[in-house]
Amino acid sequence: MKDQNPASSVRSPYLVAWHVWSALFMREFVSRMTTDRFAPVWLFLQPVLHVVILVGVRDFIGSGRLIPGAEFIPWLVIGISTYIMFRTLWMQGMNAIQANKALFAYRQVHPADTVLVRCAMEAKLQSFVLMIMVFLFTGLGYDMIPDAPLEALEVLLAMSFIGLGMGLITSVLVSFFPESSKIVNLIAFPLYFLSGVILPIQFMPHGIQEYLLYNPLLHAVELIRAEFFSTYHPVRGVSLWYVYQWAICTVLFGLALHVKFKVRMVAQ
Amino acid sequence: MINKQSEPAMIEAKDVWKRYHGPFGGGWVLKGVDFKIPRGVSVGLVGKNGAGKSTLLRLIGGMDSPDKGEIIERCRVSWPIGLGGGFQGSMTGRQNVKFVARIHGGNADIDRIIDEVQEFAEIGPAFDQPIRTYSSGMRSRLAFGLSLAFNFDIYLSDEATAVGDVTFKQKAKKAFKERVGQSSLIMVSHSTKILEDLCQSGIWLHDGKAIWFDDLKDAIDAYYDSVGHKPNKKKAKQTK
Repeated sequence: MKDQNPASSVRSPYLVAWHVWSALFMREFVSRMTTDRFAPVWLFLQPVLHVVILVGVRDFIGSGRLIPGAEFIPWLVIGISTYIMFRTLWMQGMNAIQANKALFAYRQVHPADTVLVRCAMEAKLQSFVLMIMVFLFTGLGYDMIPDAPLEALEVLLAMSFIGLGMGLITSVLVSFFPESSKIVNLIAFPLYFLSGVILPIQFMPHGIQEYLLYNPLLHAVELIRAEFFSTYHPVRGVSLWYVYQWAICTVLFGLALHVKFKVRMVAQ
Repeated sequence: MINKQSEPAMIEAKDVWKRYHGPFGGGWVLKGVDFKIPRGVSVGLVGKNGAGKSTLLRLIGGMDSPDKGEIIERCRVSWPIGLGGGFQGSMTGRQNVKFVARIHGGNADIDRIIDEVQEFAEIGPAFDQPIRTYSSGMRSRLAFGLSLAFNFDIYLSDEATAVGDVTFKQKAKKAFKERVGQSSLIMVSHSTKILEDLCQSGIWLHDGKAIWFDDLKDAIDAYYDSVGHKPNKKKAKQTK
């Protein structure tokens, strides 16, 4: 009879981690979908509206619409969707620990698990949103079908890992200084303009471009556009390797922070 | 007694120190706690408010780790069952039970666990309501039932029975009486009666030290003596 009991047989650490992740995944998914009645609709509607409104505004202003080697509207849509994906991953990851505090009563659940699971779920949801966007604008008659879909996915994945890494790092920060989430939000906002999401960086002076290229998100956004539109000329100097470097560094640094401060985060 | 000596203790605390770093500094809560809990012995933890009872339970439950020293566990220990937490307020009772069953690897018999918890908790339709709508008694019923659905060697209870009504207390008592020999209990409670019903030995936490008593009554007496208040039983004897 004892063997039938889940708690009695000794599980390997990997199996325990897997059980925790799958349980957290389902919990996160349910809570994301049931925060309010409108949640599942809003989840997809918000990014679409965001894109549509920005496209409308940008269309109205009109200047700088000439993008070398790509149509303007699809160029904009891809940029904004990529940025939204990155930002959502980061922000959701950052708030994961606060939202799951009660669950640290169970010793299997580590703070890092909640961030990892949340980012994985968010990446799935956001790629779904991206697909909807592609279909929507293709339906509207724009050329949105990626020329190199697998390469685009690779860039997207690399960028998601930066989002995860930033989520891991800032989640530690926020659990010690809750006020810092406001500052992180403030820092994340200019990224919108610095990553060439709505303003083409190609037209900026070379001296400024040099500094802007320190931002890995600019690399990711430009590279994804290049994979979507084979004729597009991305900003000179972007490289996928740079995105990977950031991804590896931020994820490892974030995990290291979680190892170091795990006990203090759980104890609060 | 010889058995106890030869068999390694189920839980062993070796010179455990713990302090909390508050915004205004913080003193040591536990200052070198040493004890051994033998297999099959239920222990009542007594001490003043703020003596470190809950802290000690959290350390045993693995929610926190000592600043100095170590706690060795040679058995399966539950999470601390209490008023504090373990439940996500926005989720329903059923969802919380499912979650806990899953993290314990109980995916296969999740239905059995849900049935058991529901049967023990007896909270009716509230089982499908968010936890934040529960009264503290309902919460502790659910928490207790949930932990009993898993076979732990030691259950940690932090005032989990304090808010329960009479039937719940009876039920909890009965559940543990049935498990004598299989599992034991480490219990924090200010109710002397429930401690005496369920525990044999006692640990008195005083000034950051833990003092072990083979007999729970001695621990309770020592605790009451220290606060200068005679336990009710002695009063009763005097009146006789």
